[in-house]
Amino acid sequence: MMKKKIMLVDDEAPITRMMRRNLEATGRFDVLDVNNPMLALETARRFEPDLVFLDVMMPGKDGGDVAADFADDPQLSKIPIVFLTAIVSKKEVEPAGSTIGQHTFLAKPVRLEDLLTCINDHIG
Amino acid sequence: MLEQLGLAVEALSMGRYGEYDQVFDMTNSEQYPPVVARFAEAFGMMAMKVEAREVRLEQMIDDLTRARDELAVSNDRLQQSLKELQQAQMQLIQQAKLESVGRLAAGVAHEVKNPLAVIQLGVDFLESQLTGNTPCLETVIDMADAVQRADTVIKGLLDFSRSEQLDLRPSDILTVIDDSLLLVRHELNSRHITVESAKASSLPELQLDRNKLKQVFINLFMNAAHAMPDGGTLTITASIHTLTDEELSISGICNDTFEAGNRVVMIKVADTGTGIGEEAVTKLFDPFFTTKPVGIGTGLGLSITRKILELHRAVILLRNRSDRQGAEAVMLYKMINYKEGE
Repeated sequence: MMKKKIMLVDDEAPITRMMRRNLEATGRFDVLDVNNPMLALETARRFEPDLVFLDVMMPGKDGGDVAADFADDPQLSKIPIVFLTAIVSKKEVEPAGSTIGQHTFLAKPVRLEDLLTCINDHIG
Repeated sequence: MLEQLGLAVEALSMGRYGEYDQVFDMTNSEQYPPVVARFAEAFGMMAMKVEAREVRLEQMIDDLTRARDELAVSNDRLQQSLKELQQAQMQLIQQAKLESVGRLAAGVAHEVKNPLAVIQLGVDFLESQLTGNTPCLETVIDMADAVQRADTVIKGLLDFSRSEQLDLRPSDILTVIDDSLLLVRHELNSRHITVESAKASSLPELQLDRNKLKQVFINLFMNAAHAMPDGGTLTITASIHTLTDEELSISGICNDTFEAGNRVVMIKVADTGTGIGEEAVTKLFDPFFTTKPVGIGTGLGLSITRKILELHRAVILLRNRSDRQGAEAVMLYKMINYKEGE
């Protein structure tokens, strides 16, 4: 079975590293982490992810701007984006993500099982 | 002649002014010897001066007495103003403290969540790699619990910093109480706590943020539950009440919202627990103050509770019950546009 491709965009390398290790350990995903938000668009065009996890508050370019770039790009506009952020609390979102506006949000710190449920909901 | 003089001297010495007129009759030098006439004139003048001084003195005493009374009244007013100023100052300090904690809380919450996310995901990864290694797995599970506890505190901080905005709608506070009770029912049952209610069958609708107010009641119910580790009774009363001067002064309610004669909705949440210790009374609403064991309370519940109620222009008092059988929280909500019979 083809592995699903997950792209992680967060300026905190330890977070993307931990997420990548967890997801790769399931054997179901190819994971690529990007710690410079300015490179997210270019990397996504090459990697062609099935799903993107995107931090909101990042230096240089915030998650909202990165998501807007994806929406404006014909190659990337259909790729589902899940915001993974510390600015919402778990009380405000469901464990496996809630939709606020048009986007799904996951609250940090997220548990692996919630991450997997969220992935299944989007590209399962 | 001598007798006349003697009577006049006695009258003057006894302060019976006006009774020495006869002395003036003796100033006639044709009827009396010149020395007597001069003496009578000098005596009469002296007597008049004494009388005038006496009158002035009485006037001065009256003025002084009046001034003293006025000073006493002013002093009372000053004392009252001083008391109100001290209360206002305490409120300002408390408010400033809460605002700085709120700002700090939002910043800390954001900064701490990222490292927590790393630890949480690291724990999840280790858990998946350590199958069969029981001691290591147990260690990892302890670490996961610690992350959850830290996350609970952070969640409290975020709630605290975000309790500024309210979504006010006309609501029935009794429904909010019942909904909140449902959410903690299991917790209360497991602690063998019985719930008793003495609520008015209906109360006028109040402008409430139902979700935030649920948080208030859940906090109060859970505090009551923690105060009754061996079981007990949680009593909820809700009624319409008219505030008296005495209640306002005893309770220390010092804001612009309430005055004597106001009709209020009064909610009481009483427990049969250990009561509030003297040392805790002044600190109960301070952020991070808790009397609960480590890991049980964040010390933010009551700060959040009071902040939410203040945004509703309501007040909360925490005190020991008058029968000393536990503690009670008393909340007052001002009824706006309320007419008798509604």
